[in-house]
Amino acid sequence: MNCQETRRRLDDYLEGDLGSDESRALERHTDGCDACRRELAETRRLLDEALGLRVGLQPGRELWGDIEARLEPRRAPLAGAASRWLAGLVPPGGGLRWAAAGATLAGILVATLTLVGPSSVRRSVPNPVLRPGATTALSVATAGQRQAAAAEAPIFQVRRDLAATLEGADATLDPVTVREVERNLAILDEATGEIRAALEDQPSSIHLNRLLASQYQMEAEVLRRLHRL
Amino acid sequence: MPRELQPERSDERLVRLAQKGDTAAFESLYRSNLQRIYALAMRMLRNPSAAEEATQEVFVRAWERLRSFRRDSLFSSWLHRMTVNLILDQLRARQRFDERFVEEPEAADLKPARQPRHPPAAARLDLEAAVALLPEQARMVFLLHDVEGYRHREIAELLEIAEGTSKAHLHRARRQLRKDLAR
Repeated sequence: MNCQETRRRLDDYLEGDLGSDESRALERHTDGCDACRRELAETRRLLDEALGLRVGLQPGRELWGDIEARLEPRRAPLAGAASRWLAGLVPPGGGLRWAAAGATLAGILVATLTLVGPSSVRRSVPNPVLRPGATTALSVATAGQRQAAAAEAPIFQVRRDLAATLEGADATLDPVTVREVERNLAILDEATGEIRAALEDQPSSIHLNRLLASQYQMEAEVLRRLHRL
Repeated sequence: MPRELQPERSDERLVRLAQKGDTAAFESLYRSNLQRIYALAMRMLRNPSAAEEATQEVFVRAWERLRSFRRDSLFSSWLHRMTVNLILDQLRARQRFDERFVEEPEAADLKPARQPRHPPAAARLDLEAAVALLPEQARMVFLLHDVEGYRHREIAELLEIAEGTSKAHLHRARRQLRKDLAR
């Protein structure tokens, strides 16, 4: 190996990218060539000094105040109606399975919304907040209403169980998965809200009460499945 | 003022707390990473005000994206990468802006401005100052490779250049630095 070749290959040598034969050839050359040996030594010294630049520098002023002023308060784990469902409902390391579960939910929900139909519900009514034990129009009189009310209770229990089991694990989820689940659960809430809104106009409608009961049963089953994943 | 944090609180624990919205935990992460991030910004941008602004931007962005941070890597590495990306984006945007809106200077003015400034012959530079004199691409590659430990493959990806170009820049940077430091 001559001087020109040695200097051309020096970086690769220091990087450990030369094969053993080439490395030995370069070393033989530098052993016998003062100029190349000096260049190798200087480059090694430079690399040692470069590592010294890893030490930090202190900015000339305090930056935290300005940074803190720009920090948005961390959102609740998930925003909107879905957050009421999802607060703490995320299993550790279950991203892909949640995505699949979200897709399942979407399928079920699309079917539900198709059944309800845009003309049979009042879309402008905001979603009611579902609270365990809340008194609703479902708690009175008709068999359909009793059926819906009976189906409602397991939902709250499943949600409580999920929340207790999974609380705090949401931060480990892939944001894409979270958004997907959030979107699907928002649809879920919306569907329930629409049925309930329609029931405010027609509280004794057998069709709507059965639909709501069926919706609750489906939701409970889906949530149980999610819980098991 | 931040509340006192227990010394045994590791970065991992602080990250977990910050992910839940704990700004005091995030401030601790900021304080333990500030000097490295600012130093990187300063060496890449060569301007204290720009480096301070970039540092602020990095931490604000880190807060916004903290949820996506997977705790299987070090927070400091994640932050470091974010800093490099942010600064390179800024530099590219500035370059695009300059190309579109800044008038071409007269040829006579251009020559000295585009050439690296050379130190006075008698002055012996320390490495910090010598690095600052390198042409931009060579400086970036040297900083990322020899100071920060990135591989050529990663640098090529970050700088959107060929791997061979990254090696050539490094070779040029080292040669220039050896020369400047030997004065």
